[in-house]
Amino acid sequence: MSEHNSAAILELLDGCLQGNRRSQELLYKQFYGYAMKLCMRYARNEEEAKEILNDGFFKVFTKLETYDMKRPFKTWMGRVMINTALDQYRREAKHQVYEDIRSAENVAAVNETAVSRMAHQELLELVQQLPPAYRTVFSLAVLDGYTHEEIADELDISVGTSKSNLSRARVKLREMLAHVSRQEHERVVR
Amino acid sequence: MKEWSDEELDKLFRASAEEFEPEYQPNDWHSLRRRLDEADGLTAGGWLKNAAPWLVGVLLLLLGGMGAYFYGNNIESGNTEIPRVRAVVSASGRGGGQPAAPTAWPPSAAFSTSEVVETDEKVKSKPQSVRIKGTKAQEIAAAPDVAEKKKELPLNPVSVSGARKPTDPERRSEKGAVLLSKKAPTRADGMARNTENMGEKLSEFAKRAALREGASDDEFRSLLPALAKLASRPTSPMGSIISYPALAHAQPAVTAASKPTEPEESIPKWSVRLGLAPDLSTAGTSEMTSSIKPGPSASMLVDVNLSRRWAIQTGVIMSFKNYVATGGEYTWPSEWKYKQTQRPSSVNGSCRVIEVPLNLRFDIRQSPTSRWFVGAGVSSYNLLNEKYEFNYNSYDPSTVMYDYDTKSKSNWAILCHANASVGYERRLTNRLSILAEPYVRIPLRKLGVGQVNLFTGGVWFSVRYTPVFRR
Repeated sequence: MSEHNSAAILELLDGCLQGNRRSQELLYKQFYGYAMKLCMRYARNEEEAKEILNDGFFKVFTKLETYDMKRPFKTWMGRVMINTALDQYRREAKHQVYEDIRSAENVAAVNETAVSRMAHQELLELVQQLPPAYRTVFSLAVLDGYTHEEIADELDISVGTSKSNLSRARVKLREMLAHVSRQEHERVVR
Repeated sequence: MKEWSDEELDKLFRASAEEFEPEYQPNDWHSLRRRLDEADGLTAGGWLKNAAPWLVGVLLLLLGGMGAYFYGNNIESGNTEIPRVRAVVSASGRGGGQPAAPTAWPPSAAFSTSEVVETDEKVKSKPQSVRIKGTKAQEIAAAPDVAEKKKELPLNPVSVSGARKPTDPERRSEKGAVLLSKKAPTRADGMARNTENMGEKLSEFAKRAALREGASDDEFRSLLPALAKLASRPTSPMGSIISYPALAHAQPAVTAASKPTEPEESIPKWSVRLGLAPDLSTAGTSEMTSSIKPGPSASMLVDVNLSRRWAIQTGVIMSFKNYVATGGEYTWPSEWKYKQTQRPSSVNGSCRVIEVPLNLRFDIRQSPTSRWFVGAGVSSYNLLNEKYEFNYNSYDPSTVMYDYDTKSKSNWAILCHANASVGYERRLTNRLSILAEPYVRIPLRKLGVGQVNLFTGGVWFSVRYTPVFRR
C-alpha cells in the first residue's frame, strides 16, 4: 500500500483502472470539493470551472494508467486540474485583449471590517473577475505556490511579465476591495 | 480604512481559497458519466457515433456488392435473351432422303419434322437452366440441349467478372435459333426412329460426300465399316426427342437477329478513382469569401456504370475545411446565451469532414481517349473536431467565449449538401486515366455547432483505375 494513499483510495483507483463507473463516481465525489476549489481559481465563473473540472476528471479517468501509485493521488489530480485550466487559458490567451490598468495604479484604501464580512466565495469571485492573464498568474503564484520561473515556463512568458502581471493583479484586487468597502460604507450610512 | 500590503492581500485570498470548498453536485457527475459512456461507446448514441464511419463504409460496400451482383446477373440474362426467331427444321426424320435444310445452331436442336415453328415468346435463359414459355414438350426439348451446349461454349457472353463482351453476330443468330416441335415425340418413338434412320442418313451423307469428291464405289465401300461404327454409337438419353444431328452443312437461319452488328466497346461495370483537391469553403457569400484558406481533401470513389453514358458514383471523401463566418452567419448556440452578452464580430471555423457522396454521372461527350462528363447528387457530412475562434470588435470583461472545440465529438448531417461538377477524363492506358473535375457543394441545410451554411468548391485531380475483366 502506498504511504500517501489510503486503502480506500487505492481500491477506488483500482476500480477506476478497470473502468468501473461506481468507483469513478465515488472517486469523483471524494475529490469534487478539492478539484472544484482549484478550478474556481482559474475560471471566470462557476460554469467555466465546472467545464474545467469535468475536462480534468475525464483526463484523470482516461489517463489513470500514467499515474504513479507511489505518489499522492491528490497532488497528481490537482496538477491535472491546474494543467487543464492552463490549457483553457492558453486557448484564450491569443484572443486576450489586455485591459489598460493605468486607472488602477493608485493604491486603494480598503475598509477592513467590510472585507472581513465577505464570504470566501465572494473573495474568490473577485479573483475570477481579474483579466485572465492576471488571474492565472495570481492563482499560480499566490494560491498554488508556483515560482515566477515556473509560471514563465508554463505560460510561455518572461519572468518579468509574470512579476508584472502579479503586481497588476494585486493592484486590481485592492481596487476591487476598495470598491466593495465603499459600497458597504454607503449601505451602512443609509 | 487600511492600505493592504502584498503579504496581507495574499494571505487574505490564500485563506479564502483554502477555506472555500464547493459542495458536491450530482448533476456534474451525470454530465461526466455521459461523456465517459460516449467515449467508451456504451451508450447507443456513443456507440453509433464511434461506429458510424465504419458502418457507413460497410453499408456502402454491401450495397455496392449487391448492386454489382444483381447488375451482373441482369446483364447475363439480358445477353442470353433469345430473340423471336423463325426456325427451319430438318426433314431428315420422316421423309428421309431430303437434304438437310438450312437450320440453326445448335444442330442438336433440330427435330424430325418439316414444320416451321415460331417461338411466340422471348426466351430468357440462365446458364444453369433454360426456361421457355410454351408447351411442356418444348421445354423438355430445349433444356438438355442448352445444358450440353453450355459445356462447350458458354451461352453467356458476359465474363465471370461482369464485363460486357462484344457480341458475335453469327453466334447470336445461332444461339437464337431454337427449333421446337409442335408435337413432342414420345421417348420410344424417338429411339426407334433414330435407330431406324441413323444408318440410312449416314450412308446417304457419306455416299453423297464421297461422290462429290469424285470417289469411286470401292472407296465408298471402304468407308462403310467406319460409318457403321458411328451408326452403332448409343444415342443420347434425350435421343428420343432430339433427332441425330444432320451432318450436312447447315446454313444459319436467316433471322432479324442474325444481321451483323457493330462490335460494341467493352463497358467495365465499375471503376475506382483516387483524388486530391484543394477544399475551398466559406460560410456565405459575404466579404469573408476573400479570406478563404484552402484545406486538403482526398477521395476514394467508386463509379458503377449503369450504361454506356450513365454511372452512379459513391465513396468516401476526407477533407479539412477552413472558413470564416461573420457574426451574423454564425448562429450563437442557445446553451451559450447565459455565458455572455457580447457576440463575436467574426468566427474562424475549421473541422474535419468525412463526406459520403451519392452522385449520378453523365458522359456528355465520349471518344476513345477522352470524355467530358457532368455529375450531380447529394452528400452527407460527418463533422469531426469542430474548432471555432471568436473574434470581437471590442473588449468586454464579461466575455468568456474565445474559442470552442468539440474535440472528438462527431456530428452527422445526412443529405446536407447538393453536389454539381463537370469534368474531363483522359485515358492513359486501358486501365488508367486521369481526371480534372471542378465541383461545388451547395448547402441544403445548416451545419455544425454554429449552424452555418457551408459552401465548398474545388477541383478534383484524380486517377481512375478501371479493372479489365476476363472475357
